[in-house]
Amino acid sequence: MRSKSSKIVALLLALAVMASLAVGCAKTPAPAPTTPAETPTTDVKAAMVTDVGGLGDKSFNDLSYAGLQRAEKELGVKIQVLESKEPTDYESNINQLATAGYSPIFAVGFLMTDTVTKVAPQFPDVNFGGIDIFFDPVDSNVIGLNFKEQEAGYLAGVVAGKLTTMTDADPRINDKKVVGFVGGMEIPPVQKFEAGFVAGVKSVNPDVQVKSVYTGSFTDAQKGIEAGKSLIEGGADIVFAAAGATGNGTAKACKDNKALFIGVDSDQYNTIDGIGDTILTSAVKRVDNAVFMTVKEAVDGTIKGGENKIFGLAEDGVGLAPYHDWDAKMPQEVKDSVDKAKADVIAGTVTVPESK
Amino acid sequence: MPEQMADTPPNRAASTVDEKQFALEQERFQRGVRMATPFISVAIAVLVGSLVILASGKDPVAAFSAMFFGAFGGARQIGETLLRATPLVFTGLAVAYGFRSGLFNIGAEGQLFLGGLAAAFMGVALGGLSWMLSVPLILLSAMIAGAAWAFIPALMKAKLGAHEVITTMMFTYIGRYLVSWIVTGPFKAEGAIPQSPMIPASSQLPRISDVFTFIQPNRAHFGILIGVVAAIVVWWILKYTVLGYEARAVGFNPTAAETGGISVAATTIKSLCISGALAGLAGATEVMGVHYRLFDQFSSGFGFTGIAVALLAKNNPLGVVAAAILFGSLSAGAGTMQLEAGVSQKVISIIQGTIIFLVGAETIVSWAVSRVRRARGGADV
Amino acid sequence: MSADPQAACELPPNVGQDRPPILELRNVSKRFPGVLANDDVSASVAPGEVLALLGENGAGKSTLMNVAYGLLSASAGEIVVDGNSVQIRAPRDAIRLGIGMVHQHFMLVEPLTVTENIVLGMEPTNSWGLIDRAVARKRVVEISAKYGLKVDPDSRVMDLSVGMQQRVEILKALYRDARILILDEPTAVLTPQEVHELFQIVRELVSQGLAVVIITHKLDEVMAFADRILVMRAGRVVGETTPEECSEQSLARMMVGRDVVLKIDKGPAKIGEVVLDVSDLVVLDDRKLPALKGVSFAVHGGEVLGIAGVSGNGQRELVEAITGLRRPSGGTVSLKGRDITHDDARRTIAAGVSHVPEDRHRRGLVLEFDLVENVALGDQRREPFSKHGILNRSALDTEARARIKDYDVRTPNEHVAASNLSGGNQQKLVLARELGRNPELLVASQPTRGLDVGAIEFVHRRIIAERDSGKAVLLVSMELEEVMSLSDRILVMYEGRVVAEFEGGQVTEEELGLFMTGGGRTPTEPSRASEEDTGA
Repeated sequence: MRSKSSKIVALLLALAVMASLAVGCAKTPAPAPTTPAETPTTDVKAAMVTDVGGLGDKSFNDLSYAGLQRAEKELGVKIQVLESKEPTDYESNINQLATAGYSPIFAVGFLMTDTVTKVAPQFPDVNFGGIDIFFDPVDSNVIGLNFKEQEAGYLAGVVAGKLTTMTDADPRINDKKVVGFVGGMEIPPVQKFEAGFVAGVKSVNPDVQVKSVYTGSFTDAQKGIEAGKSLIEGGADIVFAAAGATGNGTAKACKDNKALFIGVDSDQYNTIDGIGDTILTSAVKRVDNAVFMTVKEAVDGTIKGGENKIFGLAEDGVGLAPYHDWDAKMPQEVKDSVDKAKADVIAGTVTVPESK
Repeated sequence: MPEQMADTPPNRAASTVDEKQFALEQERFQRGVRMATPFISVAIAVLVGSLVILASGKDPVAAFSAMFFGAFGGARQIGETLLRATPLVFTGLAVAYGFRSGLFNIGAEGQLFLGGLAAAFMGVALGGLSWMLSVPLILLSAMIAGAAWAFIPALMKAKLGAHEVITTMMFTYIGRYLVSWIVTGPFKAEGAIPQSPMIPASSQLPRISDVFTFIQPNRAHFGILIGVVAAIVVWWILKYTVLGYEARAVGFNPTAAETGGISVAATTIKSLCISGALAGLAGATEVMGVHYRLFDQFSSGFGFTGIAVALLAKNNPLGVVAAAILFGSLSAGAGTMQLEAGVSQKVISIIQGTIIFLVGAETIVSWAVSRVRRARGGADV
Repeated sequence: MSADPQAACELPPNVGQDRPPILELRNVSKRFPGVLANDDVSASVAPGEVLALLGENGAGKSTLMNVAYGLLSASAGEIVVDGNSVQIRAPRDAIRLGIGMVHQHFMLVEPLTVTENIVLGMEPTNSWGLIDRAVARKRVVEISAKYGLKVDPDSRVMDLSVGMQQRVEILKALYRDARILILDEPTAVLTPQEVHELFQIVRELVSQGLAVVIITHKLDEVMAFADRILVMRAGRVVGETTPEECSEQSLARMMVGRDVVLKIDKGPAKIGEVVLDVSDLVVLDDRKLPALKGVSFAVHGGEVLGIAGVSGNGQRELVEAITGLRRPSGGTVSLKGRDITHDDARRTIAAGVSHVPEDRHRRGLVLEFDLVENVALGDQRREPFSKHGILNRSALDTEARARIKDYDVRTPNEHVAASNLSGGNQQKLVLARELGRNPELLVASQPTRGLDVGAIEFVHRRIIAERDSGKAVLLVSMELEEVMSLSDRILVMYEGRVVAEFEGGQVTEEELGLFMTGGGRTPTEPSRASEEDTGA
């Protein structure tokens, strides 16, 4: 008797699980190519392959897709995205897209370096773009799309370096003149963010101290919380995190411990729920712009492979996100400093170092 | 009241016949349920997947035919399926061997990482040797590394009674972080990317179509053949060796095994180490046949998918090969399904999840089967 | 068993037959594929009457009662309650009609209390719709007082003895206003004292007007307390009688369909050399408390040494120490002069000790293994079963087939799982393995527990055959009758010590029972016992 009813319960549970799975799936963005209205026509078909993070990562995959969607809307190209579940998928996904006639094809993330290098020679007529990939050597149909992270970090540093001394601007700012940096793994893009951040801080206020912590992870939010806490306990009132999802933990630590946060890669005001005025701004990589520009070159017929492009402030490839909730109370002096720093970098009068 | 003893009908000594008949019926019923569960599970999972596709406004028939084509439509597609099945054959065998010994090796993933680490390291170190020497040596060292990673949890289980689900899981974390640290530091290739150096060609497992050129080019490598051999060897160990016999005895009933003179502690250690060695091979073949190097994310949870493969295969080593190919085909077909039918690859995860759930809940299936039997007036004892 | 069949036969003629039956089963048949479990069976029980349903395992008794309780649906036939034909599709229909059933395996929620278990599913609620624990407890106390079923309503079930758990099951049925109580093999799991108490409870229940049906295969029990006996064999009722009109022998004949030897005949023992020598053995139990406090005895070739005692007085630890499953903390065990005190099970087996464990499901068999693999257990490392670690499957199959034939294990073939055999055949399989090994010493613990008459006879014959072929047999049993009929010498264990020794056939159950419970130490007895302890 008892076992019978427990089996029925189990069966009901099974149905409930299936139903919730079904609902969950229905919500996932279905990357369906739609026919754009009133746009110029072109026979360019652009596509991308996500890394294992897939769409919905609120980072490079989503940003790249945003670039493609913009190209679809404004240029009338046909677009397609293939999500990868595991590293094994990279090669087959790229292969399938190339076989189906897509060009350019964007590979998102440096983990696809080997794959693009291997597949590209098999499809000489197809252009491949690697987001965050520096190809060495670089094939004639391959473009590396890289970013001057240090320039975005520099602007973030200017904001932090200025604001940390303005104790009147916000009760969360202390008089200790310490700001923090949380890094993910110690790899070049992160190190460049850090170098630029330090340089930016020092450029406006040489006596402000920058304390850095590397968590060794881009995925472990708990580590981000711990790193953020330790920096705040060490006196930091503004923390810049270049650590992927680990940084989301740092944002939480800032919110909980009454400190301020600067995001990275995308505008994290929109990606971290309930961050509100804890976030000052984000040092963004405009992957969407880089993708869009590359597709546009393909449409215009000016696309040229065989090089590693580096998008900086001048190319609108990196930048600072809007201040959002802080826009009203951000001291004009800070905003002016940022604008000046940006102009200096674009003009070339200031060169931001890539490493400390 | 008089004693009204009925005389024994002469032919009612049938009790012994009935007894035998009953045992046979039971045996057949149990075997039937055991055989049918995986197929029923897969069928229901496909149905659930279809409903999900339908709910997202797509055509399930188109989606599944695209998927089938993507998995089996030609040499390239079959190659993709086999490529993806390869690590799952090994992790499936690892988990199945553990289950047969009464151990839930949930940490095959960690042993896989250690196997991958050993393979990458030995692959580079043995660069000068002929492949005939280096490939077996690398595979062996990966097995030793995987076994070693399972040995400590095994020892803790045998001597202290620490449950292997906890300890092997903990060792998975340690293993993953170890690999993550090693490829960002001590064993990092030149350049910006955190990954090990590439292993030389003599340490690689070649693609089958590169060796047998009459086969159209595809990505399947010799790892799958090693996997099939491993499955046969595991099957043979379980059925034809004292080692396997004792492992199964302990797995079914440790108390009776102990009474029969089998050391439960020693058997536990041996079994978990064998399981670890098999998982280590999964890491090795991924490094040697697919990526040719080691990096942080080189396994997307093959150790955990191996649990599903083992469950679906009912822990039968030869069934593991079939189950791994099924899971491999789902994975291989996912790309085509996205491309042709516009259905997200997450549907594949749902199908896999449903299979795992249903196979794990075998009682539900056997209950359903017995309901049907009862409705037909059959036995329900 | 201390109950005396003669006493039972002197009971006054039962009153039940004068009243109309409360439950009638008319021409019930139940068919499983290949098996006709019930073939046109009719039975009835009246208020104030104990009906015993007697038969061997597989005779169809439980099937019949499961039909009455709604667990199985009959293929044909009619159920009549209070003279009205009723449909019982599920146990809840049966409960509504006042039928309660206590299964062999209890269906209790162990972490819950007695009260919680009893009211489970029918909890009294207060005006808030919450469970009214006070009312629940009060009702439980009332019912247990009414029927003399003493049990602490606040204990957790898992802390109770098996006998107490059985009372909780009976209370559960009574709480649901059962008028007909079906007990399925109620004494299988009980100690003799608990059996005695159960019978008193049953008497109390029927005296208050309940009808009780007891499913059993134990002859002495039905003789002791049944008002009426229905004997089943192979799905049919083969006889109906009362204890006054029958004897155990005639019941056994009805049950099995042939003459059964209840008391085995054995010739005089031809005592050989000492095979097992246990000296001053000290063994700790699982809680590290001394379970054996210095036990000494010897078993010779050609004799059966029986160990009598109430369960839990160190017998299990003694058996485990001898068979290498438990490390003694003091003393020695030697086999034919060889010290095997610290040998593990594998070495002990190799030395020539065979072990028929008390629990064949837990220790005796790997139920999921087929018969071949079960026969191999313990010998898997020996030739011809294996060589260099590789099993010789064909040698295994051949040997298994031979043993199955020798020991009359009834099975369709040697490749079915052991779990699919009946209890008697499972025990035969254990014997086939342990005796087929041709040991020097057989340690048999509770070898006939839960078996029916036919299988018991088989096991007893085999044990005596071992003895007659010059082997030593150590028999541990809670069944006094078994110990007395098989043993050439009997030791009584009490609280980890041997407190008495008797020659077989020179002691009564009462004398043994006295020593088993710690009494019987007349001034001369201790000296005698200690003499035997050190000497022998």
